[in-house]
Amino acid sequence: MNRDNYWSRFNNRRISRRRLLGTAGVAGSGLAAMAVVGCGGDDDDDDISISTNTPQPTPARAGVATGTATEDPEAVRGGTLRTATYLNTINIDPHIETSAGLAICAKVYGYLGAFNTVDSTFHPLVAESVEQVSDTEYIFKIRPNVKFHNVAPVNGRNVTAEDVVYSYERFRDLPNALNNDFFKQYVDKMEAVDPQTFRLTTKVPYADTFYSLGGSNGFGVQAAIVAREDVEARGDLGNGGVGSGPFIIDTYVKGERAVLKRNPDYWDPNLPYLDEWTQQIILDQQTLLQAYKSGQIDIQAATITKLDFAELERNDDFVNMRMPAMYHASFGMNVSVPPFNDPRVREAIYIGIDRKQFIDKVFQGEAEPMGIFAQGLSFWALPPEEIEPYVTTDVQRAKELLAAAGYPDGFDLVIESSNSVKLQLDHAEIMVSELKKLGINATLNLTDIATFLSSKLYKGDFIATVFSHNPNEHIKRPILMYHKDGVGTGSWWHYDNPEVTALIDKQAQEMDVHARREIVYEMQRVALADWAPMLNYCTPTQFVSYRKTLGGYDPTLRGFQALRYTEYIKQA
Amino acid sequence: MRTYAIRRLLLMVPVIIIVTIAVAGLMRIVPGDPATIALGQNATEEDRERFREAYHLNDPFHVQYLRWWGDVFKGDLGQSVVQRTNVTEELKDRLPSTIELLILSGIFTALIGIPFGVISAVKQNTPLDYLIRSFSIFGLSIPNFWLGTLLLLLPAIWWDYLPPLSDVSFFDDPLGNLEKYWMPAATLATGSSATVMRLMRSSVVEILRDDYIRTARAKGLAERTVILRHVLKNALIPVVTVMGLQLATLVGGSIIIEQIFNIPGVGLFLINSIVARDYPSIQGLVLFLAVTFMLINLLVDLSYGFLDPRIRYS
Amino acid sequence: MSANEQAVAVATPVVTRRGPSRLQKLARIARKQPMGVFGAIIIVLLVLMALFAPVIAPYDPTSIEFSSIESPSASHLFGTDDKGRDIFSRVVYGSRASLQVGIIATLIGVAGGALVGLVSGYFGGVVDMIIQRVMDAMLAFPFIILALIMVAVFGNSMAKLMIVLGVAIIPSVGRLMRGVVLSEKELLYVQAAQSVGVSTPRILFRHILPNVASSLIVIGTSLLGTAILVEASLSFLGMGTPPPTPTWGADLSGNARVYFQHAPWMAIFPGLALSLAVLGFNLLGDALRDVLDPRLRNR
Repeated sequence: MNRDNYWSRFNNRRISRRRLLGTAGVAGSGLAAMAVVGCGGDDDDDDISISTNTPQPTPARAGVATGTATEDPEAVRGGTLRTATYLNTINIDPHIETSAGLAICAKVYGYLGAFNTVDSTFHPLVAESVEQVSDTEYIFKIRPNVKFHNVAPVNGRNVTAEDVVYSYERFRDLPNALNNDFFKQYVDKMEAVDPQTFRLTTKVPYADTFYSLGGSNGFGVQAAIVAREDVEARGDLGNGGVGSGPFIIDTYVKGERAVLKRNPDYWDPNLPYLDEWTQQIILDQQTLLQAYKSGQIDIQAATITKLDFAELERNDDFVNMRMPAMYHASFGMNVSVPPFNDPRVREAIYIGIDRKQFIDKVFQGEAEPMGIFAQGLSFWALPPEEIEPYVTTDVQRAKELLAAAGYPDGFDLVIESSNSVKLQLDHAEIMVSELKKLGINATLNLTDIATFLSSKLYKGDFIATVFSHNPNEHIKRPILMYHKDGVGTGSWWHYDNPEVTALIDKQAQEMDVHARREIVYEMQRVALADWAPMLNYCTPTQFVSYRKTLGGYDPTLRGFQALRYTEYIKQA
Repeated sequence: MRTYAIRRLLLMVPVIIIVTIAVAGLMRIVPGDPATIALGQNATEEDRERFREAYHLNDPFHVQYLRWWGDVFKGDLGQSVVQRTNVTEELKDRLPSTIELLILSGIFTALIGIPFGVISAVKQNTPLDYLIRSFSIFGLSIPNFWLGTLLLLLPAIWWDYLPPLSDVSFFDDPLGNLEKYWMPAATLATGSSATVMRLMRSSVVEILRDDYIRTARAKGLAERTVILRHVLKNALIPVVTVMGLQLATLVGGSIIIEQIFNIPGVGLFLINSIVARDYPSIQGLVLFLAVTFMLINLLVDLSYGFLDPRIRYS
Repeated sequence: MSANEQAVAVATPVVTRRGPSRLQKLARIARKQPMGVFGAIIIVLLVLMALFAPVIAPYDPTSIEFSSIESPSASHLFGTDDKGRDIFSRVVYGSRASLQVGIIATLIGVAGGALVGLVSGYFGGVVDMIIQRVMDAMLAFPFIILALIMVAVFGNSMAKLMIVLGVAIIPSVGRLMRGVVLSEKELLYVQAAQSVGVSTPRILFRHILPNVASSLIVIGTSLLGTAILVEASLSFLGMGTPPPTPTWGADLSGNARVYFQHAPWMAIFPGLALSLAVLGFNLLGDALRDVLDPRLRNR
């Protein structure tokens, strides 16, 4: 699959009705190569300017992704991939866990399909194909040869549509499950028409259906397929479970490490290449970094600085690259009361602060100014040229605006934030300094994270706040922050812009990805022009490093990579 | 002695009640509850209400409190709602690490503090004494989190050396285990061994002046016998107190060390529970810590009786 | 003075002021306690540094105008940190947070503890029992944990931190005071005062307190060192004095550890300052103990 084909698909994407979204031409297994949603044909070929400063995802290498068709000559069977995380994984029930434990789940459980957030494509996995018969109805055909692990009490039986229904219902109904709003609010009916056919209907056309079924939240995919008898036997899957993925849990020590071994009965005979996959928990990031450098783990997992990265770059044993990150910090303004109810004041803030200060001081220059969406959401974010007017610095004009709004001498401001998150703290401290230049005398009121969230942020009880956000690889959440209803309990900024709200509602139902993006672009333009109450500082650069001996690994695919199972260790 | 012990044990009960009610009550006054952190930034208020219903967080305080005690008597210190684990399980997993850390640092403390304290006292006011006292007072003053950071990062930078990262039980791999634990134990021991050293010194100095020592010397006993048999036993009394106290307080002080050296211990669990407003975990942990602390105090007090026959309890 | 009080005054031990002048006595003590003098000097320097920080520090400690991660040089004696702040200025100003919190917390703790100890030890009985149980409850878990819980509950502005630490100190002081008062209670002068009907508060504050004052001073001084360390530990954990106020503990945590390999000066200098400050108080406390109250030597 060469680059041209990939990019023409990128331009012509469309989920059209009555289109069989299947393994267009490539038989059998593998992922990224296949099932691209509807190649070419009857849609417009608009000239979309794609932001050029974001790294383009590496097209799947021939053979590694397709599995049966051709094999990567470099791919070697066997070997152990050693990973680590600094996030404490306590519970690896895929329907409950939302953090690093999902990396384990991704290898152990089966999923209906994998959603590539980089180009918004859905790739059937346990499903063989999916047909969208209408805006609200999806028919998934389950592969006949997918089996659960040969472990009691499931003992290697086939995965059926019944299992899919059971799993999704469990995900929907567990009291402490998170991010299952798709199943709770949008799904109308789920049924196993027959053992190989699963039908899902939504109440309204919902553009994020595939994302909800197979998209990563930044750590992994939650809608896993589990076995009823396994859940009933164990009570809960917190310490492991029987899945249908390419790996079986060999050891799981809570809060410490996990060791997974190759599933010999995986339905794709060519995958996985690895014999073993391990995850170690190392809480301290310095120690984590040292572990990588000293060769104890294969993928760098600590949040590192530019200086650390420079050192890694000098080392020939590593593959090093930069990517735009997802997470970022933001300055939130309550627009229902003075001073921020006056758009001139908001404008003054936008152009009064110097983004470069944040980029330089918090990230040592490794970041880009940001508009509405993080550059990591490369598919959806407005290109840099369009956000330029909102991230420039003009202190003089800012002061004029403030004077015109009635604050010639500035004003006092209390900024709410939390002392527990370093990213927030760093930005907040610099914000105080920047605001001083405009004559705004800001003080920080710091509380611990639970207090901050529950009594300040969620209640909208602040004039200004600095907080951090991770969009989890998709716009689904961050876009709601500009909606008048917020993420469900009302806008934290008390923001109500009917035009923006309408656009957000519209894009949620637009099934044509291409058209949807246009709406999202428009929404960003309108929100920015209104000096949106959520000022996002900048998108940091994510430093990626992994050992040269690791092949079949494409970090730019983010969560999608975890479900490709294409990693292998190049033997020396 | 027995009545004393029983009386002390009985007195622990009201203290425990005060402590647990205070902690449970305080945590509920603070803004934020388990639902806040457990469900993350993307949850809606409905999600949170559902969560609260599911975990009975809306019940009246005394109901929640008594239910928790019911669980405790069944052997379950609490079901952590946020961290999705069981407090008793967590404690069982984490306690060995913390205990090993404490025991090891206790051994270091004793090995360094007691002998040097004695030497310092016997060679009172000589340059050696001053040297030892200088070291000990430095040891007292250095913040242990700073020392820990230096101990961990400097060898990593200079010699590429890191202690093992995964936790191995002592029984499985003694050498590997010690390699992981000696650094944090040494860090913790710096402060406490300094205290013990000084205390030992002043204790011995005091006793050396005492009449009955003079009597022993007058009887012609060798200096070493004098020291070993008479002085030590009595000098150890205050030292035992302090070490006992240290053992208990080290549990809290080890929080930072556990984080720096990546030790899955109790301290970190407590901090995370507080931050996450994990009521059951906090209550269970505090109960456990309080009981432990008081039992250790009791043991220390009872040990006086053995060390000094002159002390007896009515 | 009334006849009663005269009677009491006779029985109360009195420090005689005849003999060598006070200055000469001080000099003699100083010669015998060189470490204590050293400690006192450190403290004096520290206090001066805190008081005259604006004069001594070359720059505003919260100003981020300089380039980040500059190694120590002539213009930046201790280098700059990752946000471009001058570390020397931060260390100088940091002494304020440490001293303020340390001193006021200790004052609160000692005053409160003295009161608690006096009442508890003197009255005994039910009062004593109740107070002791509450003190035990507070002592029932380690200092840091108590402080952590209270900070989480009440917040960590500098003022609240002082109160929280002070309250956390009260039980330790209270217990010690109680012990001292218990033995003091049996002494002749107290019984004499009781027998002539001197009012209780008077006995407590006019007679007993001055005699145990020296114990309080000694306890207070060493507790000061501890208070400073606890404030630093809390700041290290992110729960101490909130930014942007410079404090040594916070400067040691977070980015200082992240950049340790490339900018070790970020962690080294605040750590040194902290160690020196605590050292000073410990040395002074030791010397004071030797001089003022041999009773406490075995503490």
